[in-house]
Amino acid sequence: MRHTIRQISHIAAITIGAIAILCPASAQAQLLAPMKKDVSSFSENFIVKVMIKNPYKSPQRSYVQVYDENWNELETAVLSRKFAILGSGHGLSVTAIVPFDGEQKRRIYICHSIVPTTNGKGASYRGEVCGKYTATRYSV
Amino acid sequence: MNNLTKKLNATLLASGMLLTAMSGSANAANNDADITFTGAVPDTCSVVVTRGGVMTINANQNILDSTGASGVSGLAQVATNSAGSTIEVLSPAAFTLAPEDGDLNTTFSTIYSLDGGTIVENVQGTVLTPLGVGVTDMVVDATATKSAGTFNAGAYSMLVTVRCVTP
Repeated sequence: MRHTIRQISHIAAITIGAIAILCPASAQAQLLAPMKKDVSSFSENFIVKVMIKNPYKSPQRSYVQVYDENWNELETAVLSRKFAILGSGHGLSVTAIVPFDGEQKRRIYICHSIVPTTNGKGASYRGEVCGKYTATRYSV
Repeated sequence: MNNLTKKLNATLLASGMLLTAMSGSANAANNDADITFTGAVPDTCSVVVTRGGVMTINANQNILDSTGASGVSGLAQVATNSAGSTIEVLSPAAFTLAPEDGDLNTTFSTIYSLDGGTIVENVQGTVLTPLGVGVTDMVVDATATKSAGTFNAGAYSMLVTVRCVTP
């Protein structure tokens, strides 16, 4: 049975709509991405790149921290940005360079936190989202 | 041309037409091709603080508590798109704003309740709760307790962290 052009267009519109629902163009509430990743490195350090985003309706100050697997802040990690003021809905790419410190495998957490302020007044709660990242060191 | 020759020619012509039709339809079938679309949706967990809290002092002046009379709980909304993320509430180590000796002999604690994609009630902040998929509303309460002495008059502020960790 032949489909008319109108029927084909209708089917395509539904399909595209379904794909749009399943794959939204932007995750409005997303604060940190990716939230987990496995990386490899041949050097004494490994690199993890994440994207942070401000989900609030007003500009907010974002903080980024790196923790080891026991949730101790990793002082030896180097971040491209430790904090930034992001506009509403705006994002920023942050790169972390982390040493293996003699380990073959290392697991770290990278956390993005915001203490929301409204009209200059601070809230007493901080929202924090943490991703888990595992690195493996390979020898040449 | 005799009858046999005519019949042979007709048969050959029909066969040729049939072969042409078959090859034509085979060509039409070979024109179909599949295009594969792929996509990936990464794990996400978001925490949005929707309201700060207010602590009030008790009659003995030694407990600042958001569950006290006129106290206000903090509110947050957590959203996940995969199972296994965990939520916890971290108590502060000290006040961010307090009169002198505000931190002296003071301990901090939190409790939280979840409703929506995950449901729990009055859980200690240090307890990790696995989150279900979807949106969860969170109510958080905080307490500062003096083991000795009382809280002096003045403004107090402390920061409580709501942390979501990917599985």
